[in-house]
Amino acid sequence: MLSRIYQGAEGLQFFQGLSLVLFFLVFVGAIVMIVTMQRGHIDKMSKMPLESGDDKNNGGLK
Amino acid sequence: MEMEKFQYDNKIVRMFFWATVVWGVTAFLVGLTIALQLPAPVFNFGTSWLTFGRLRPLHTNAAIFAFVGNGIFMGYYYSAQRLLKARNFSDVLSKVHFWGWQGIIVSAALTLPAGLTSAKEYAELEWPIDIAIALIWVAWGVNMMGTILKRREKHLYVAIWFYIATFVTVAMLHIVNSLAIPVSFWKSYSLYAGVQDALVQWWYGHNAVAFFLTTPYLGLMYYFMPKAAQRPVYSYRLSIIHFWALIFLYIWAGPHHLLYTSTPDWAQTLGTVFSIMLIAPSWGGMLNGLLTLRGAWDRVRQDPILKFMVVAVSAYGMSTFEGPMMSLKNYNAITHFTDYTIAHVHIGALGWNGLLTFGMLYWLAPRLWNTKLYSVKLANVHFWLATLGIIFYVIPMYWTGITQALIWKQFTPEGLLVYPNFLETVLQLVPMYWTRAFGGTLFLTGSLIMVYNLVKTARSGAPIPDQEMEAAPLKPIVSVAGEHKHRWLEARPMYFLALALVAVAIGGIVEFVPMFVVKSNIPTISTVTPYSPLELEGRDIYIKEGCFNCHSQMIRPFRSETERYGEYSKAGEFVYDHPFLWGSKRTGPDLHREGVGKLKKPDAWHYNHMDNPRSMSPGSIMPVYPWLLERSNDYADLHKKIRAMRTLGVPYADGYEDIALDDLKKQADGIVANLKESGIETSWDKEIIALIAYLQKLGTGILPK
Repeated sequence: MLSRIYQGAEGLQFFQGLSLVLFFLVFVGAIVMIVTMQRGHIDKMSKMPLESGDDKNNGGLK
Repeated sequence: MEMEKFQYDNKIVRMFFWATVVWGVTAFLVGLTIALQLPAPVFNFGTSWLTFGRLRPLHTNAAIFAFVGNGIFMGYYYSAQRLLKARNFSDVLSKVHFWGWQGIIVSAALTLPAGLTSAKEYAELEWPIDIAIALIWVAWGVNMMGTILKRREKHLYVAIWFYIATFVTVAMLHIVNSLAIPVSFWKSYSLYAGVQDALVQWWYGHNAVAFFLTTPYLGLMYYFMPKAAQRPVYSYRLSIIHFWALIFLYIWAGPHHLLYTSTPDWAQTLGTVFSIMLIAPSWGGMLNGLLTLRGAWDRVRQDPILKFMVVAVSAYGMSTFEGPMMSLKNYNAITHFTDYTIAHVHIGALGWNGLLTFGMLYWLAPRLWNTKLYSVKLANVHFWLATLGIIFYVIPMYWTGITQALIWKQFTPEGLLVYPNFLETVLQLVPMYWTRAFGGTLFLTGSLIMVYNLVKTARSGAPIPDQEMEAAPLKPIVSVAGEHKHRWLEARPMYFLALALVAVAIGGIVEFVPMFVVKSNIPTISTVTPYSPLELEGRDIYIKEGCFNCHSQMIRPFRSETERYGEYSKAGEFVYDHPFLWGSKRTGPDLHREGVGKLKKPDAWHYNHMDNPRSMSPGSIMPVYPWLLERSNDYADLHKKIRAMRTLGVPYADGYEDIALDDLKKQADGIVANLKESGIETSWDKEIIALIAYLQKLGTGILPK
């Protein structure tokens, strides 16, 4: 289908390959990043909202 | 390490807090008004300023940019300072941001009911306000990036990434979609025409939902849900995947708003494929939010804030599953142009944005005024009114949407439409419109109870002055060999911003470049001619009155549509349409073939119909437009309009602007003479004459000359 779309568009064929390669790179890159991430850093980051020093007031709710 | 003392700016949070409350109630009130206008046209009040076509954009703008917009900034100014351990970069910029944004909202509230509109959905504001939006948006962005650069926390929490992506993407969307040639201070024509305009508009429109109603609120979810639940975010790894996949995929999905239209099939298919892929990151985010409550579910029973948040995130999950389903062509054939879409967007707007905002407001109020919430009971009452309000709103609208689709498509055994008169299909829906208004009333009542509760809470305490903090300054960033890639990125916000821009720009570029350069996307039709001066002026009246809010101009290639309206719409018919006026909802019938075939009506019919639609179509729910019969137009801007159109590529001959008024008068005199034969006395310069000329032009482009 892609080749039909780009018929008559000189110099645009590279878009087909480009979009596929970019796609592949973004997702593989993201997966590699999260798989290799260190446990300690993850724990620190996920607790960050709870350490912003404004939790003395519980709003009378809890 | 020596600690630095600094203060968080709480005042700016309080300012946005009240702005969120005030504009929220306003948006709900305007929404209820237009909900009542559908079953009872009397609520249009017989004045041009308050008709449905002008108030509907006011409602959507108020809900999106005033209510949710202020909600974003309220949550941002609270959370960003704390996550970055730094006061805002500049108090002056914070104030410019606040007052500038309120000024833009007020100017929208004045210009939209006045009929000053660019006709592009969720981007209706005219060019001077567009420029103001860009400037104020950049003021926020500079303030944000400045704060990030002077932070005392090395790594950026996921909420901050979502804020950065919001800033950079909305700036790109707003600027590209708003490009236009000004004719006067309050009038401009879109730079793009027809199919291309539609593609750019829905690239914007879809991603306004993505990057104004979704990404900033996901940032807020990632901050305020852990706060309210007192639990760390469920999975930081999932949040990274959620973020990058969401911003990369969302930007491509715009063409799913244009399924079965005259846009090329390849663009429609791209929209569908990416929409289906979007389920994964969206649900990843939803689950990450809900699972943050693990171990705290018992508290959901007592804590109204958690109740609001749980239902909000669930509504996000519903919306983001339903959206991809509606992007499938078979499903879209039923839901598009119907009230089903209205139900879908209100699950998002009332459920996701509304309830998350209410949760944040209740969480912030006691902390900003150093007190406790005035009444937990009233907050619970609000929760149930809001939830029931949403249910009473969306169920009738889903029902209405499916009903509409089915009765539009219903044929007799002989192959004729069962409901050939569109009005018959509308009248079936009136009871559901009343039920929807009831749901809206519940939602509004709940929000008024919230206002009372928040005011009493604020009065029972005292505003917390700027909060004192101390933290160690950030050490200069030096590259450490073997440092993890995303940690590296989190420590370098400007690279992060650039990469986010690249991620969101790719989808737009891959869709736009072929659309603009490949000629075969829009086959030329030799019989399609530019609008005559009178038709062009009539088109501007059509835009001013917001007719496109209820009438589409896009006949899809279904037998049920070609049977009802005539030949399906072709891409080549819209090449002179700056802006395109396809619409997205059929409260009334499609008008693309209004001037040809069996739908063509005498000039006198249009004259009487605009004066009072019920005189020609008993039971019609369309507003009355008597002022069109009264108002004269001096056509002072006609020559500028012709020149602007020529600049945009419409083939008016050089110097035509000098004689355009003569042509206009000639055509107008013809319509006046026609009307006279039917016993109607009027003059050539009345607005109705131009509007009739435009309506009679519609669909004629494919007639043999």
